[in-house]
Amino acid sequence: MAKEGDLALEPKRLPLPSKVVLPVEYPLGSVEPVVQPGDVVHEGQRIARDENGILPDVRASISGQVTDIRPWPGPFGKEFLSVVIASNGENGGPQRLFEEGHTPAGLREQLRLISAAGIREPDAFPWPLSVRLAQPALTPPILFPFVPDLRRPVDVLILNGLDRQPGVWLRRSALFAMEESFLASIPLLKALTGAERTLLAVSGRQTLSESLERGLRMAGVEVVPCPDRYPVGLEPVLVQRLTGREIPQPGGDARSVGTIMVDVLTAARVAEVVLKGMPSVETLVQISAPSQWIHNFAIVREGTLLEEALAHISPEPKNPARVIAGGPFLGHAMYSLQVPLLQQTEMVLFQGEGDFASYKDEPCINCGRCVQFCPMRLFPNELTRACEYGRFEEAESKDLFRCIECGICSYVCPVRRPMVHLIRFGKNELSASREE
Amino acid sequence: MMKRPELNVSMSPFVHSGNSVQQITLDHLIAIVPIICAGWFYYGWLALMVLLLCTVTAVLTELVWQKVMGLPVRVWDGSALVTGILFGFLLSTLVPWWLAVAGSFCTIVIGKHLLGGLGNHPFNPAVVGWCFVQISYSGHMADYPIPHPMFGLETGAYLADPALVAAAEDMEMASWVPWSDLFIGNVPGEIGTGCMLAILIGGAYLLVRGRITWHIPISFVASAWLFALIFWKIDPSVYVHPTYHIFSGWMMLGAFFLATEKGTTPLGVPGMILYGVGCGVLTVIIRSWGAYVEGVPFAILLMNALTPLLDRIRPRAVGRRVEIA
Repeated sequence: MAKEGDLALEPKRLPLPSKVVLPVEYPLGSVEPVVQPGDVVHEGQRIARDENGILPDVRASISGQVTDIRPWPGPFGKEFLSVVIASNGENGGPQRLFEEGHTPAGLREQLRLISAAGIREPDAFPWPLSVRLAQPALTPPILFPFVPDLRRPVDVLILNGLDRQPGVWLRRSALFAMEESFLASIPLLKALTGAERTLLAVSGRQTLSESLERGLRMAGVEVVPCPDRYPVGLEPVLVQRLTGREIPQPGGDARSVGTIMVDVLTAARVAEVVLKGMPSVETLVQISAPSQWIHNFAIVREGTLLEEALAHISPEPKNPARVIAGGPFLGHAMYSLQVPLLQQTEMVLFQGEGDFASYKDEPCINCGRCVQFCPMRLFPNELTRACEYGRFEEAESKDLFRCIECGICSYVCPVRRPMVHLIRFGKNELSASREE
Repeated sequence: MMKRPELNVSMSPFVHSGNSVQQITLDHLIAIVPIICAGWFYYGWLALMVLLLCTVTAVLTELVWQKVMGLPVRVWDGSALVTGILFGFLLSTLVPWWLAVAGSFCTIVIGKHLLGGLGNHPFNPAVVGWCFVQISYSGHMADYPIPHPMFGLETGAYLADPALVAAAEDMEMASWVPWSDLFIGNVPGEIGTGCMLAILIGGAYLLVRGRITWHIPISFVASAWLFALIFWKIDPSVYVHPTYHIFSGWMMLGAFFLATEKGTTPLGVPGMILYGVGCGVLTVIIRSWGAYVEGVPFAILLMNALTPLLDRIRPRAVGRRVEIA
């Protein structure tokens, strides 16, 4: 992995793409397209919405014509129904969500805007941003009675300036590049969540600019330097580190312990939406090939195909043998370069033949490395052995479902056992047998 | 138009730390170099011959075993090399050559492979091998050579009259030997167990490299010291000083190199500390009231046997929902 010095890269805004692909299906759920093939759409126009009003809208990220609505390889490893828009070359700025000078004051109205702007987060939260941000009084009425987590008042707001995975410098560079929007978002987020304490987690090796520090002081934000060590930046680990509260697993949300975590890029987006009415049509991605010392920050239209973005990047990564959308630990390997770059993508990692990490079925040697590093205090050695031999119930009794699949056990294993693979296998087998 | 690349698809994670068994054993090898040097310094070239014999036997045994049994040949990971040297450390230079070979063979075949292979054997293989030779050939194992430092140092003055030494009881020896001699290993003993200084250097290296954690060695030595302190306070004329306990015999080698063997220890922090405490206390019990002079090997084997139980003591997993009735 490259060194800290590479952080000085300026984000480069890439030219308007010839077409974009915008999924309307996501791991969280799917939304209904409101356009037909052949429709002409304007940048920022709504092209899909959730009938229940829970999931965020999808906004057109360029002006042009809808050419197709069909399944398309997505950055999560499988095909998702997507809207394809061909550009007409217009680049006049997006349709605003409200007219200038009509900034909404009501919190409910602000939440509606956040949902309408199409903000999506890279972390795997169980709820979309507008639902998570709402304090109990603002929770959508159709969710309120059924989700006890959302009825709990929020007292700590954690702003996450830590990149989730090693080799990603997106959030820490956003603290420089998007300082203004980020600072503007803090009072908004505080008002929406009703949090009493606000913390900003930053890498211990990062020095903040003077103006940022001043702004944070004025906003009453406590800055907490954290070690640059995976998996500290992941939600369950960070929340526990900063507040001592444990998020129930599996599938728990920080809301269930009265905490909410928002990453700094998303926070900046919230300010853009609520204060200026700008929908999220652009996204910042890092495109890296560490073995060739290539690191780029690119601002692209959401849904730009990776292949097209690559054409504008120099030097271009050569001979990719594996392309990973989403980073080295949490990403998905792509089988095609025709994948759209989305807000959730964060980074695209190129690996050559030489820097492949291979895993193989070797017997565990009980060295205890995985136990030492597991952030959830599990015994991955025992879990994987149980899963390997089909003793899934035993694995479950040893807290198999508490695993957050961060992958650190695979990373440190001296015999390169496929630890996370075996754990996922066990989880899948158990869930499948429950469904029968 | 770009050429359509052929892309490999797999599951995350896509990176690896590069940690490997070879690297672990390489670090262990580096860590035992000072101990080998100390063995040579006090007992001469003969010490190196014994170590070489044990090592070659161990590696060849593993190679032949894996070939004959049709197992994947993993001898090149170097673990047999380290185990062979560790077994050699437990012998004195006075043992006959066939004893070293037989012990080394047992270490690999019984201690390591028959009981499960690397990291899956319940007992420390080197200690299993030592037990075999100790029980079978106790006559050959009872003699310890007088150290003859190669340069700079003199053989301890308390060793001037060998007849007197041979007749001495434990307590008398303890009062004769200066602690400085104990610490640097200038005392009669096995090849690799005597020099605390060399062992501590090696142990510190393993700790710094993260190959072992502090829990087992520190709790082992500290509990032995504290437990011995109680009895020394009660009656110093019968029980030896606690510092003598931790600077003598196998204590340090046991704490840093034998008790920490992969696969034979609990992996959770509470388990590791209890394991270390058990080793320390049992060592002092066996040394003070047992039939054997040295308690460390038996303490380690007993605690190895308790490891599956100790591993049941584990911290509550993060995020485990507390059931509310």
